Amino acid sequence: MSLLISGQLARRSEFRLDVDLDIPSSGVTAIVGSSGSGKSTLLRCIAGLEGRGSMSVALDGEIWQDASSFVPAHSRALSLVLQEGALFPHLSVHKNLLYPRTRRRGFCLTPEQVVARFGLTPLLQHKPSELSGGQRQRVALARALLAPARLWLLDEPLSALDGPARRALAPELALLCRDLGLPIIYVTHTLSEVLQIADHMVVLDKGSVLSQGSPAEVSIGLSHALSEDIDLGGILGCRFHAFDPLHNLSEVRVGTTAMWIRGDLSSLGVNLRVQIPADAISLSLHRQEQISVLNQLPCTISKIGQPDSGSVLVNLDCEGQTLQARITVLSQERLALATGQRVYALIKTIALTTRETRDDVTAQ
Amino acid sequence: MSTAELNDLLQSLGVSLALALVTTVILLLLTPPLAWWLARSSSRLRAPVEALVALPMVLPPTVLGFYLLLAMAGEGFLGEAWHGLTAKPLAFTFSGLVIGSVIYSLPFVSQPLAASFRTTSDTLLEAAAVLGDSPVRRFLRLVLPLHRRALVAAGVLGFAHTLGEFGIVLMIGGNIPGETRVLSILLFDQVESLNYAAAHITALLLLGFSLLALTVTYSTLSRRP
Amino acid sequence: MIARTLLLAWSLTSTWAAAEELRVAVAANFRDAYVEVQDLYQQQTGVRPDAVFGSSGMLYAQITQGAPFHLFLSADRERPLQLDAAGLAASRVATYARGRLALWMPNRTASPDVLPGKRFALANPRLAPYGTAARTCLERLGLWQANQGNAVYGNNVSQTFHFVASGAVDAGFVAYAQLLGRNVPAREIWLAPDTCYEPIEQGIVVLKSNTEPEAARFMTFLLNDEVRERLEELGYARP
Repeated sequence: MSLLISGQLARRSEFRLDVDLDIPSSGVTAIVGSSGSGKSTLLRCIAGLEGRGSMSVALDGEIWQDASSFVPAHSRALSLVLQEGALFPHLSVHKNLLYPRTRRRGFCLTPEQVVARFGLTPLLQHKPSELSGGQRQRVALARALLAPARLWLLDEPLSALDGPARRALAPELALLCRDLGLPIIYVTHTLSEVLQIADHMVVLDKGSVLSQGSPAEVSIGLSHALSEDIDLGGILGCRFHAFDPLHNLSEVRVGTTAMWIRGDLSSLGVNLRVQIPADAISLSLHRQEQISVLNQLPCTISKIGQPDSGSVLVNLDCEGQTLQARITVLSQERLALATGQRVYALIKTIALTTRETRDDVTAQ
Repeated sequence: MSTAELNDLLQSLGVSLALALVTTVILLLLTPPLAWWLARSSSRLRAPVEALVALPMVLPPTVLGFYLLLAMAGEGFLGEAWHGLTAKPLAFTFSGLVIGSVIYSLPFVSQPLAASFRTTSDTLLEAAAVLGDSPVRRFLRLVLPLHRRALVAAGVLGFAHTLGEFGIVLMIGGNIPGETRVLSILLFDQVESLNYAAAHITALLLLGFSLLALTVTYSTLSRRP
Repeated sequence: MIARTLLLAWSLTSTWAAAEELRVAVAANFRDAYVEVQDLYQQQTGVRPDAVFGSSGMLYAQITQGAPFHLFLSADRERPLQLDAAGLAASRVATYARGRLALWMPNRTASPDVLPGKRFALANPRLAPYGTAARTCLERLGLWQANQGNAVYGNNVSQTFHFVASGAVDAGFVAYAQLLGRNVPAREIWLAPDTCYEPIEQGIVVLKSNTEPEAARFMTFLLNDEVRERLEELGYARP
C-alpha cells in the first residue's frame, strides 16, 4: 500500500520539485521543510492541481497521472485542506458544509457528525467573513471530511492562524488525524504540529528529498543541512507517567530514567515523543546534584562529528534511541570526549517541546 | 394624446420590452461561459475574440445594421439558414431584431461579467475541484453564485441598452407595428411627422425606463456585501 | 506665428462662406435628379448649389430649428407651406416636380396582382409622400386590406429602395425616378397610373437668409422648361 510520486517540476530553469518518493498509504506522513522547499508544491501535485505532464502520481497502483494520462483533481478520491481554508464567502457555514456533492467513492462523514465533532452548531448560519481565523479553519477541516476520499492532504493547516488560535486547534487536529483511519499527508514547517502523530516523515529541502523514515531516524543529523533553521536535533520516544499539577510538570519515562516536561500531557496517550533541540543538550561526565537542570539522561557517545566553526555535533545513544547534542570544540577537548564514553545529557525542561499547549479559553 | 396614439405607444412599449427581455435572457444564457473564457483563458485567440465581442461598442450601428440586413435577406447566410429551419423569412421580423440586439448588446453584458470573473480567486476554484466538482459544475455551483451581483448588473445593463436601441432597428426593423416598431422608432416617427406632443411623452417614457434600469444597476453594484 | 495661421484660416473660411455657395435641403428621392440639375446650374452660372439629402420630415425639423439652408426641396407641398405659415419662407411655394409611383419586383414581371403572399416594402406613410401614395394606390386597387400584414416600412423612399435592392423583400413601392436612374429592366417595373394615387407634388421654397436673391435665381432655374424636360426624362411628371 503506497503512494508513489515522482518527477520534476521546473520553473524558470530552477527545480521547484525533483522527487522520487514512495510514501506508505496508511497512517500519518509528515512532510516537513522550510518555506520554498517545495512541500506545498508536492502536495498540490498529488492533488492534481499542478505538475501535469511532468509528475507521476499513483495511489495503491491506481495511476492518477503520468506522462500520458491525467485524472483531474475532482475525480481523485482525496481531500485537501488548504492553508487559507478557502471557504466560499457567499455561502453560510451550513451551505459550505453541504457543498460537497460528488459521486466519487471513498470515506466521508455526515454533516451531523462533523458539526458535532467540531462544535459548529452556533456557527452554522454565519458567513465566513463573520468568523475568526480559527473558526474558519475548523469549518474548512469539517468540510473536507464531507467529501469522499481515500487520502487526506493537509497543506500547512495551522500556519495562517495566530498563536492562540493555533494552540487551540492543534491538539484537536492531532486527535482527528489519529482517529480518522485515513492515510494522511500533513505538510508543515512546524515540527511540533506533527510530532506526536507522524508515523513517517519526509524532509524536503530546495525541492529534493533530504531524508525520509520514522521521525526518530529522520531527525538526527539534519539540522546543519537544512537551508533554514529547523533544528531537529533528536526525537525521543517516552512513556507518560504522571502529572504534577502543583508544578505544572508531567513526568515521563525514557526507559528507566525520568524526565520532566512542562504542561499536562495526560491527554495525549501513553506513548509520547519529545523533541530535543541539539543546542539544548549539555554534556556532563557525572550526574550533577546542585544544578537547576531537571533532566539528566545517561547515554553513550556513539559518534562525534566534524568541527564546524568551533562547534561540533555529538551523537548519543540513550537506551536504544539516538540524540544529538551540539557543544563547543573547546568543551569537547576539555572533557576529552570520545566515542563509547558514558556521559549524561543535561536537558533543561524549559527547552523541551512536545506540542503546543492548549489554552484554556475555548470559544467554540 | 388620442386613443390611436395611446395604442401606438402601448404597442411599441410592448415590443420594446419584449425585445429587451428576450435579448437579455438569451444574453444571460450565452454570455457567462464566453465571459469566463475571456477572463481566464491564456489562449492566443483570446485577444481577437475579445476585440470581436467589443466591436459593436465602437462601430456605428448603421454599419452593423447594414451588414445584418444583407445577411438576413433571403439569400444572406442568416436568412437562408433561418428559412431552412423555420420556413419563414428573417428580415424585418421580431426574431431578426432579437438577433441584431443580441449582437449589439453582447459587449455590454460580456464586459462587466468578464471583469468580475477575473477577480475569482484560484484558491476557491481549487477548493471546489478538490471537493469533487468538475469544471462545469464548478462554474454553475460556485462561480455563478459568487458573481451573482455582476450577473444582475450585466443583465440590467443589457436590458437598458436594448431598450434604447435605435440605429440597428432603423436599418433592419422595417417599422412594422406590433412586431418591429419599438419605442425609439416610434419616437423617430413622431418627430418626423411633427407630432411633438406625442414625441415628448414617448421620449419621457424611454428616459424613465432607462433611468430606472441604471439606478437599479448602480445601487445593486455598490451595495456592501 | 500661430496667430497669423489662425487669422489666415479664418479669413479663408469666411471667404469660402461668402463665395456664392448655396446650401439646399433636398428630399432623398430627388437625389439622382438633383445631381444633374446641380451640374447644369454650375456650368451655366459658376455657382454650385450644394445639397444635404434627407427625409423631408427631418429636413423640415432642422430648418425650423434654425439650420442654415437657403432653399428647401421637399417631397411634398405641405412642409414648405408650413414653413411659409411659420414665417420662414422668402418666396411662394412652387411645385418643381411631380413624383411618379412605381412598384418594383426584381427578377419577375411586376404587377400588383402578384403581390398577395409576398412581403413588400413601402415608405412610411406617416412620413413620406411616396408611402402615402403607395398605400392609397393599394387601397384603390382593393389590395390594401388583404396585404397590409405583409408590409414593411422604410423611413424614406431611399431606404425602401435599399430594402428591395438587398433582397430582404421581394417587392417595393419606390419613386419611378429611382428605378430609371439605375437601369432597372422595364419588365420589373409597374408604373402606377395617375388615378391610383393623389399627385405627389414636390414643393420648393426659398428660405429667409442673406442669400435670397441667389437662391431665388436657382429656384427660377429649376422651374424652367429645359430643366422640366430633363426631369421628365428622369422619371418625374410635369407639375
